[in-house]
Amino acid sequence: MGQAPTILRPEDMARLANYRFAVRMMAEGWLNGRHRARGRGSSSDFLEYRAYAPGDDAKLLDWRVFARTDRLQLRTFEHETHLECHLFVDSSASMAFREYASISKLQYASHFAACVAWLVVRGHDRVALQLFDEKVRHFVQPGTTAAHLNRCLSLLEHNTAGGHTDLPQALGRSKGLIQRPVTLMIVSDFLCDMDALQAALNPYIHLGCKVVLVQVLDRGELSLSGQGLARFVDMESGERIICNPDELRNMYSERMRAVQQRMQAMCVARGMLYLSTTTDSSFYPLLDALAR
Amino acid sequence: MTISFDNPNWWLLCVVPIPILVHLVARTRPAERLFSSIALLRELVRLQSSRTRPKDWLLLLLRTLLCGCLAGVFLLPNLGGGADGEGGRALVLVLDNTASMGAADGQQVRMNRALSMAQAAVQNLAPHDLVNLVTLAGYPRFVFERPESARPLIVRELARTASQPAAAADVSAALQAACSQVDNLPDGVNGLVLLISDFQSDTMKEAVAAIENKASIRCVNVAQTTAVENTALTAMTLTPARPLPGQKVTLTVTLQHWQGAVAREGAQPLSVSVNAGNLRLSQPCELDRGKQKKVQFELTAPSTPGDWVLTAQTEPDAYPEDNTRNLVVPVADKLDCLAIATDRVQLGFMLRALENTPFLRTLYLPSMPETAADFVVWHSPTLADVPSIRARQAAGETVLIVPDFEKDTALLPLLSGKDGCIAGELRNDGGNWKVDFVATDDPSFSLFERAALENLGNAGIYRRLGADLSSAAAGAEVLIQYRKESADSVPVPALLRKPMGRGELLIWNMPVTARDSRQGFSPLYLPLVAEQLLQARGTSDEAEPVAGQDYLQITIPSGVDVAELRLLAADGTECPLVFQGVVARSEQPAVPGVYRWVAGDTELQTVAVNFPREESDLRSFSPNGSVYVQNAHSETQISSFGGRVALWPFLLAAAFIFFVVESLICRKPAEHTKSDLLP
Repeated sequence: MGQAPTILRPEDMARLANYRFAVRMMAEGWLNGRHRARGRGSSSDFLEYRAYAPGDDAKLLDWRVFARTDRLQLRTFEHETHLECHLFVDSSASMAFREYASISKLQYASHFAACVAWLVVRGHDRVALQLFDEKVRHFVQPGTTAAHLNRCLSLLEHNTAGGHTDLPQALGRSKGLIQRPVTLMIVSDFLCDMDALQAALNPYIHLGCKVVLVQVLDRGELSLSGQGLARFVDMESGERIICNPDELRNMYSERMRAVQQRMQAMCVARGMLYLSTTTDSSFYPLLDALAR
Repeated sequence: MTISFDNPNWWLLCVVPIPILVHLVARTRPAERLFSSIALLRELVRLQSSRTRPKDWLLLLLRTLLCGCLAGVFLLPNLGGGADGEGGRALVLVLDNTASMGAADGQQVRMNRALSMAQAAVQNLAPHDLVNLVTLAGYPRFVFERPESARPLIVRELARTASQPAAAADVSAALQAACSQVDNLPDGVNGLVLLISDFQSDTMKEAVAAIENKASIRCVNVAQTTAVENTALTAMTLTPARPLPGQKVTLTVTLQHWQGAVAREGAQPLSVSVNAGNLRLSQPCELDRGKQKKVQFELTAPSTPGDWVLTAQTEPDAYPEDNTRNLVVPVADKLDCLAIATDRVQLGFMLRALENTPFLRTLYLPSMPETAADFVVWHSPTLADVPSIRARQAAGETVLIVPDFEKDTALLPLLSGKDGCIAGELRNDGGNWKVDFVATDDPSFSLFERAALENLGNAGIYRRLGADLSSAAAGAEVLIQYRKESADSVPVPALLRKPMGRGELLIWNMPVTARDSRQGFSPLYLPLVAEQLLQARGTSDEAEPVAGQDYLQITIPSGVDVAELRLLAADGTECPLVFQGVVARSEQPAVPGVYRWVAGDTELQTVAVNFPREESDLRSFSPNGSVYVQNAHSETQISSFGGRVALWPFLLAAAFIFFVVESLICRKPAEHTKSDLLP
């Protein structure tokens, strides 16, 4: 029997005890659950009246309304379904970057993903985990059991950064693994082509998935640090470039801010949730935002 | 047009890459930093490069040009000058530094302008170019025998050169020699003679006109005006020339005025003053412009023998050096008389008569002495003695010849310049021949005012006959002649006088015998005649040392310690001497002033050197012929000599401009628009 995963710390679990994983949008599950769904269902919560149409279930007719108004009205209820959350954790080499914080972006993302997985499983929902770089490294089928959670946590704990980032390609390869509308949470630094990312996300959006993009960055990536001429080495490709951070600092910061704004705009336009954080800050605000 | 470089240390440019290499080797390597993704950085660098690349290229261009200009400045480039002189150029600089060049002409002294132009011409030469310098004051002085590649030495020589109070001599020969140096240059060397002068004297004019190869000479006239108004003391004459102590003398001072570029009419009021020892006389006069005038002063010679220094002065004008003139008059209690005779008997007679004359210091020498004398009595000279006699006359001596007609060969060459002899005989017909004084108004006979000339005229003496003596002595004056035998007979001269050179020739046609020993009856009146002639002869400063040409020299007297011999100028400074055997001379040619030869406390001789009178005429002329004359008014004109232009000032200015532009560009920060930063 393997050693218990340590990526989910007891203090985290104690703090997350009062959290409930529920995103603002309705889920589209196929099992009954605790989560509201976008359609009419069989729950006890009244939704609305609507006119009868041929083919509608006669059980839903409100005969009292027919008696008073002599019109056939259907009485509909909210649909409550379960939640299936697919966690995509970027494990490319760039996620190993660490400058300001004590942990790397990958470690931060793993902690966050572990907490989310724990929250999902605790809510009797299904959680799936996918570790990817340019390809899908590991995929854990959705599950709700503790053993399933342990497996996910173990994968997250022993995950190492490496390989190139190609999020659109990874999303394209994962398309066959998701056949139904699910909650898709992608934890990455999103240092990729924005248009390609959008194109890769479109199938999931069309499928009805609820997409949450969590961008994890080091503060050193938001504002270029250092003085004097420096040779920057790409952690993924190994390419080098010599430049003076002093000359590029302002431009870089503005450019990063513009990138984030564009990503924000894209998410808003496509009905996605965009969350951004840095590794030197706590991820609980992210969970707060998810629960809001 | 070709570009040449003057800096001989051009190879030092090879060290320029060394600091660049050191920088490249020792520069700090950029720190290596792992970064999550450099895609954004690359994009920004590309964006920045697109913005800064033109600026960087411009900066690179400016800095390259700046370095190139500084390297060019270091190399001292020159443009042009090598038309057909691939082997270099040669410049023979003939610099007129005569006295007239020291005149103030316009705003500047001519010499200063000439030196500036000469230095500009020399500086314009490349280091490997050949150069030579000739100065004309006194006599031509060549720095080198042929043009040498010694520009710094010539520049130093020019810095030492100044206008000297001397006239130019042998200018024609100097120019010919300079042209010869240019003509004899090696193949491929382009040569030129640059004559910088004020073209003031006729000597210069004739010399330039006589140049054969006029293409090889270029004249630069530094005179700003065609003539400068000037007044000068040109001569001082004392009559008699060698006064006896206490004798009354007449000093004649000659003044000359030259008109300026703008002729003015009327007389110029002046005052002429004369310093004679402690005596100072002043006399006002009016000098007509462009004319000459003589002013006379009556003086009394000092009562003690010695050199008597007379200094004449007038008001200084634009050219004050020639407003002072000195004259040294020897005051002697005895006149030097030389007696020369081959016949011992005759010599004895002569010496006895001469030695009895109190104011004569008679000296007999067996051979022709080098010592100058005031009066020479020469018995029976021969043809071989003619050159010596002429030399003495040229030096201003009075030579009295007592010919022996039976074997005379010297008279005809002396009188008429023809070879031959005047034959004659001594006639004594038993009677006494008498003489007539035909030129009693002559100053020679003023002495006889207190003497009985009748004694001589009635003495009755032998007669020497000289055939053709009268006809041969053209230009001579008969002072005493034998009385005519008949009305038709030709009178025979007894005493003839003919000025020759600066001296005089006296021919005594009377026998000298023992009978004639009595003064008053004797033909040995001749000392008296000699004295009178000497007194009548006025002094001239022609015999003085010529300023800038002659050296002051003295024959060291016996008994004088050479170590004590000194030559003192008027201000007491001691002039360096050179000793050549028994002759001591000054190391440098004389400059105007009064000099004293002193041995210990004994004053040996006083010499006056005066300003050359021909240099007082400050009129300038343009040489005739095809000689190119440039009236240079600025150094830039002469610096473009040979079409050669120094480029380093322009390069330095360009480097400064590049530096300023580069600084301005570097100060301006790079600007980025918001749109540039949008992803």
